[in-house]
Amino acid sequence: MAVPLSYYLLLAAFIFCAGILLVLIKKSAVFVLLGIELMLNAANLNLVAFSKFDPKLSGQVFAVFSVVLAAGEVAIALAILINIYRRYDTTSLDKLDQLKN
Amino acid sequence: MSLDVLFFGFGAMVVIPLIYMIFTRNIIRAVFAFTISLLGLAAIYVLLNADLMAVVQILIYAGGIVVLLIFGVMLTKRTSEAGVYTDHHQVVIGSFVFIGMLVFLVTGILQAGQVKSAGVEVENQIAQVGVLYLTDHLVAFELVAFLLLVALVGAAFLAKKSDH
Amino acid sequence: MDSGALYIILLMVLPILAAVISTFFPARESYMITPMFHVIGIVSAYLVMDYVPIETHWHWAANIEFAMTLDRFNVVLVALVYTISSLVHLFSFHYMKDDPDIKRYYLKLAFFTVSMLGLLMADHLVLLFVFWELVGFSSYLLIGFWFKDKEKSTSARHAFMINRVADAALLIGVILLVAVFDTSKVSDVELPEGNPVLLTFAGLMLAVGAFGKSAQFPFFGWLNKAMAGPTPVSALIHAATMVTAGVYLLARFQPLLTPDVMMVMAMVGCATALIAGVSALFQNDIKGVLAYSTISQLGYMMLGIGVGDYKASIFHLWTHAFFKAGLFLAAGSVIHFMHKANSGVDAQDMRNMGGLSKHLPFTFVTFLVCGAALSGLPFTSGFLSKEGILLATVLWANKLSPEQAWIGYSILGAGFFTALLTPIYVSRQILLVFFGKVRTIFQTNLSNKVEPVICVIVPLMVLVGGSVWFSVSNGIFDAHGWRLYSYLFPGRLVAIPEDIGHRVFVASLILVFAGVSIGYFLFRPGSKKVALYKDSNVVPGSINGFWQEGWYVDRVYGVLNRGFLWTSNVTFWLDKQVVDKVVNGLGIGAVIIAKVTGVFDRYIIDGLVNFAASFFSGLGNILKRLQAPLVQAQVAIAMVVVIVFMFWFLF
Repeated sequence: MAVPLSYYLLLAAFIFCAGILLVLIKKSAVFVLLGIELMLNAANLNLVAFSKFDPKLSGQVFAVFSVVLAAGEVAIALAILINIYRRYDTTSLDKLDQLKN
Repeated sequence: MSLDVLFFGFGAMVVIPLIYMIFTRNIIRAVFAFTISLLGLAAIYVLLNADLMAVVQILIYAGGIVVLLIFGVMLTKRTSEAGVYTDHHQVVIGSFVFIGMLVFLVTGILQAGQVKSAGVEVENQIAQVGVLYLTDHLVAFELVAFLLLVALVGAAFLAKKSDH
Repeated sequence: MDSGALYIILLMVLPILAAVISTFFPARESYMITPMFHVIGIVSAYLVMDYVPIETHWHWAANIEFAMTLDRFNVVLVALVYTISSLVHLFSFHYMKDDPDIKRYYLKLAFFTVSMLGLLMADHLVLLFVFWELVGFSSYLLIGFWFKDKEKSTSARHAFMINRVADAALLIGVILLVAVFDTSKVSDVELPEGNPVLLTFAGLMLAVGAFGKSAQFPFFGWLNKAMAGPTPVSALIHAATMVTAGVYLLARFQPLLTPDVMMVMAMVGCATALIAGVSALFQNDIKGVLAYSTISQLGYMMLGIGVGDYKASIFHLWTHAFFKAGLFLAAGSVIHFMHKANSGVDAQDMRNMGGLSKHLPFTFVTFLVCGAALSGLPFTSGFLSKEGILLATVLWANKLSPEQAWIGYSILGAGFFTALLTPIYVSRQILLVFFGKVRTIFQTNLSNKVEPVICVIVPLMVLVGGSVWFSVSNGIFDAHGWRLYSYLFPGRLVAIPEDIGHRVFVASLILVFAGVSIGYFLFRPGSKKVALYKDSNVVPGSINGFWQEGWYVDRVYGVLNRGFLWTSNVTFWLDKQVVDKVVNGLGIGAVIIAKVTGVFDRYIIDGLVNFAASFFSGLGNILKRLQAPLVQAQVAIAMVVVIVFMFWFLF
């Protein structure tokens, strides 16, 4: 056991914070999606890292579910994004300020 | 010792593209940086003995999601050079949140101390995980499959060109 | 999973399974599928009768265990629901044949059936409440089936909203019973210990909930509105199943109803029976008469529970399901025929009908037999069950204390008077619809296919079979001779004194025949009254309108509504005229004072004020982002708050 657990956790923490930063500062919706994916990845890394100490491997099992759900989420989000682009001609989040028309 | 080196190497492979992503304004490049970062993460999963997770990471994330994202960029941006750039805003508040969160998490992790291993190194993890999916987690597994199907159909329906 | 649970799941799933399977077939070929599944349901319900009680239960949350049970009490009703539902499905194929949305119709119908079965089998009060709401919701879907018609969708909403009001009361009752009295099991209710006043209140709340679903006074307005749905739906929902849910609930919880609650139920029941009976007499809509007669009969059932003989009520529920479903299906056949024959006139208005017995012989027979059962003519099932309730009322009234005796006897009088009214409106309806001459012109040439064998004649004849005495009872005139009595209620029946039994028997006979004679005399073909019905555009006079619109209960709702509006308007006016003026006055006063002091302040505290102003404008600029429609800004603020709190709690 060469690398202690906390290293993995620190790496995950950095990925998570980078995700938040991307979500907050980028105007493009695609970037925001990237940020959300990063946060999910950080969570996955934590799950897998913990499951190394768990003979029942629950963390890994759960992490795969989370990956699958992330894939679904991206598909739906991009579909919505394309619809928004068709209607408003922009994907900049600061220009999308109305729920209707 | 060698594992240490590998970890730091792949960790850098994850972290450096992320930093690039934060500063770049080019969406396409950011997506590619994201891909590199994901591949690094897959390698780290291998270091953690989680082979299945690594494969899934490469297949679904690096393979599927990145392609989807690039499609998203292509479909929503004009192909002219000016189109793939984006701007930053609320940088101050964003950096405050970033630093605050990082400080909080890092202090938390460092304070928590070391975790004692359960002492069981699980061999042949892929087989084990596979058995778990078809026994303990069967219902969740089927539900996720169904959910993916629904998401697929829903995405296709949403992206369809509507008449009105 | 044991076989009992399998049985319960099977019984729950069959209808929806049938509907889903039949959607895969073309509508024209699928009509036999659902009834076939229902037959499986009927057969299994009858088969399982000897093996009850069976139950299945599962954990829902910590120390709350949900259960579904089949016991002697509800397996009978499950079989009843299946029977009526299969006939209605069969009939619907004829009635809805030309509707493009027939598949949606069948799915909704199956959804309703499943909810009703769940309501009957639920063995936890909360679960029962869930299914109770599902039943209400699915009936809303069915009433509003033709939602493109604005009036019909409004009616559906109306019905649903009135139900909701009563359901709120039921919810209070359920919460009280579960949380305070700890009685959540439906199948085995015992009188719980606790504060008797609170228990009375809980029972009252249950009763009010049941009044809502069973269309009792003052909630009965919705049932007439509910006639906006397709007619077979009315047969299923508003005759046989949903409206009897309230009766079922109260019969189940009969042991914990205190005498006060029972008294209220008896009064409400007989008042409803009377009010609706009178209203039924003045309806011109063929379904309106049936709706009000349903309300009236439900009033009888409530009366039966109120006077302590819930067995008689369940018997009446059983017989009523058959003959009222028969009447509704027959009415559906009539409406379908009228629609085909002359699309220009209102197909539901009885003033446009007449002489239809030639065209619809089987429908006529059904109407005659089921109508006889509704009026309580001898040799029908209705006679037996109604006599049972009246008998119980007499026994109860005799036992009351002298102070309460007058209430008992007025209830008794109202009950007997309604028994006189029933044959009058039934004979009026039959005479108007089937006798005399046709009052409109048939535009289209009618082929022979108005009563197809499988879809119309079979259901009608089955229901006719269920409405005559030999199908339910061994004795022709024995009010307690129901075959299922010994199965349902293993204990001994209350012995009836011979003389009272005879007297009630004779009194009902006299009332029924008097009613039929009065009805025939007033509405025989060619009489003055009938001649008035020539023109369907006559606006009812004020008194007639009062009866016709169900004693204006709906208008009372409207007035209440307006009352609320008025109150809010008054408070608004007060707010505007009085409060605002006071505030303005204060403001002006403050301005004057400020002007005086401002002279000093301007020079002394100016700097401080400026600082405060800039401080707050800065704060405002930050807080403005909370309101701005920018997602990321809001996320950022949320994150800042999260971080601040985390540091606060941890360091």
